[in-house]
Amino acid sequence: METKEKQMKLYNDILRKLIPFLGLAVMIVVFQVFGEGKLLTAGNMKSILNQTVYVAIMAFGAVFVYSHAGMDLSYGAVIGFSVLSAILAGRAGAPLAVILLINIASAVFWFALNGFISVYLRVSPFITSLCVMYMCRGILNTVCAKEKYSVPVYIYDYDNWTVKITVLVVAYIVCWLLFEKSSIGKANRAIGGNPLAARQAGVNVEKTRMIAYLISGITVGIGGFILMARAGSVSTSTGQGLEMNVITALVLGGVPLSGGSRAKMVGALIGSFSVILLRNGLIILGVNERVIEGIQGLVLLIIVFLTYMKNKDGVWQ
Amino acid sequence: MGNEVLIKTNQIVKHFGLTHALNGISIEVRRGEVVGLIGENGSGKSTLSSILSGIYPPTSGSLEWKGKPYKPVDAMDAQRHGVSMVTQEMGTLPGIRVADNIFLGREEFFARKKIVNRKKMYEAAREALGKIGITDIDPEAPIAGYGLEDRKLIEVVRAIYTDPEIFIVDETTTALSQKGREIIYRLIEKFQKEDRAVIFISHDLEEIMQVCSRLIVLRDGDFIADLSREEFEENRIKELMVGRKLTGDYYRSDYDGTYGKDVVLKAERIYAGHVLQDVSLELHKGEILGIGGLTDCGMHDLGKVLFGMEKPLYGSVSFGDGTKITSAKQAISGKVGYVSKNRDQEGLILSASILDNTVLPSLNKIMRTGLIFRRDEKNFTDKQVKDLSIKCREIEQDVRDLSGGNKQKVVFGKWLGNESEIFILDCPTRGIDIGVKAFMYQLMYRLKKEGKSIIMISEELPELIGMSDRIMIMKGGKIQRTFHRSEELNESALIKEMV
Repeated sequence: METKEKQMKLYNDILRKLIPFLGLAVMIVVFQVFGEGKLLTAGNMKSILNQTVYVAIMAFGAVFVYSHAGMDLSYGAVIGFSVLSAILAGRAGAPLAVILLINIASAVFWFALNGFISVYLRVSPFITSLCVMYMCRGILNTVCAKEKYSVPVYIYDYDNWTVKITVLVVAYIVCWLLFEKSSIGKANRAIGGNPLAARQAGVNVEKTRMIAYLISGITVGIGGFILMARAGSVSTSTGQGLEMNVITALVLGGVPLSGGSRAKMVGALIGSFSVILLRNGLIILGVNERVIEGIQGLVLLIIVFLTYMKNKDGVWQ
Repeated sequence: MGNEVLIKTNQIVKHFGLTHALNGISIEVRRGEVVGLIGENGSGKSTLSSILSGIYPPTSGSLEWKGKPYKPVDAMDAQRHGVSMVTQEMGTLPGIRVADNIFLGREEFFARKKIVNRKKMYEAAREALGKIGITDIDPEAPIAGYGLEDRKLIEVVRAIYTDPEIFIVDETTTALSQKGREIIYRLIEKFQKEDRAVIFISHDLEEIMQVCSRLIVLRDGDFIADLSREEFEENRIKELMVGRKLTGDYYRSDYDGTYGKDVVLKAERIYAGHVLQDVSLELHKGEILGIGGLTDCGMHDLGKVLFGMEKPLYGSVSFGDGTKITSAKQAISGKVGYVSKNRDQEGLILSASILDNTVLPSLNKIMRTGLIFRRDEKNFTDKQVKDLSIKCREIEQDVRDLSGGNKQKVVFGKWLGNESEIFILDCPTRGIDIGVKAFMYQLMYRLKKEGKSIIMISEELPELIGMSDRIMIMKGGKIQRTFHRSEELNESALIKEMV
């Protein structure tokens, strides 16, 4: 009897690790079959990959913040701000390196603020990031109220596959090493699991959480560069809704929103493909784009609900 | 024994998650009896009495009250039936008055049209206190003005106000001085004379043998024995509690009590939190320093201060070489390990694996060329699992699923793995079964022999006496008295300093 229970637990563990991959595979099959084969065409696959790149890079950084249970909503607005700052710098004649630096620095600025207020001033990260999101949106709405700003033409050259794939792969490897193979990732997960226990095991909780925000800022800045080269301009709506894509990516990838040891870097990668595939597949099926947002919200809610249901012994994780 | 059976349990089973607190207990209590429940920590005696008094329902099995099925939904419901309990943990609410505490939830006695007549309530409270011989507690005063002992007595008044037919006393006398104990003993006598019944739970074997007319021994949630007064015999009861012949190797058997000369950890004039006042101590190489007292005497706070988790308002903690300890991180790098009293809340990450928990303080040690390799983590954890014989399915298993004893071993594994030289153990054997307990005592003794230093903060007097080279008894945030290891040292000498 007891061994059977243990077996069940083992299967559950394996299943939990596989579900994100299975989900992705099932979606591919379903959309391919019901979408009359439009999903796996070269054009559509390129379009999926294009959208996935910057969502995934942001999600890599977000794993650090979410793994220590730092719920953050500011991704979309901060990437918008990053694109805006870099474009304005570019129009003023800044060279490429400076543009890229401004992309990153402007995102890091907001995430440092986000982190400082949440970590040291002890405001709930949810509220802090909601306010940061509104501040960034406010700036975008003000600056871009009358006109769209476009990038210097040469920037378009960087919207190519070599750059995008290289950046994606390098960002993944660096984040994977930091998260899975260094003490930064382990300490963040420990804080997500139990901040008191982490502190008693010698983790500097404040510093560790702050580092997570800074890493997130850097990845948003890099994602901002890719988005900027792709979109070519900035408007009031730049980056809008991307925070939801990042959160959905994490959840679809099996990263628990409440943090802890279950968070895995590979989840962010798989989940990013999943969320973009979900949106893309629904478009192929002819679903109205506005309805898709509703569906995405519903899917997120259901999955979060199901992952909480699994721990009905009263201990959430 | 021809008296009416008041309460009866049939095959009561209680599980808390994976912990089996009671495995099918059937007992009965008759009118005119004083039944002692005895057993080691974690034997299930508090769980059983909590089920009787409606605090939680059994997982399976049934209860009978005077021959009829009895399913109390909560403590109030049990009280309406006639079962009243004074609990082990503090049961009064701070911030309100004495009388409000006595009549908490029963204000309707004094209410007309929902408005409570406070004057009547104070009068009734005064009367109830006077009935059991307490005249120096003012029902109109806020409860915060009274010490632990008075608060406990207020709780007693609260419990017996409804004239229960069964009065359950759970570890209450530990917190009381002789005067308070006398009050409880008189009450017990009164219950017995009036053909009601008492269930008495205490750690103090001497006391329980004096007070009770019958003894029920529990061990690891199992019913072990039912002894009538003629069968009371100290060594026999102890053996039944522990489950084997008591030999010298449970606690350490020597009365040597010597330790090294070098001071490894030093606290100087610590003031901290709400309690600690002017506490100084020195821990030596190879010493087991026991710290005892009532639970709110400040000893648990002291443990946190020594580990750098809590900053003192005044005074300092330092290593033997004079380096000050100001954070847990710093304490750990100076080879200090800390075992928290609240293991599940502070000591472990329950949702993380044995491996993740074990390596956490030692990540820098495991790191090679800036990276942490899975294989190194595994080897590190495997060694601890093997050395401490932690029973688990695999080291990737969540700590949550382990038993209390194995969880505690994981906590020890963290610090042994980090090669700690100084161990601050806050209630290290709390809630773990007797086998693991014995293992922990042997481990502590071995560590001492290896020249490691241990501070053991404990609420259990036998283990303090059994293991320590020196025992400091704290009271009201101060060190009351220090005892040295000796064969003559007994619990009542310590208790006298505690209350």
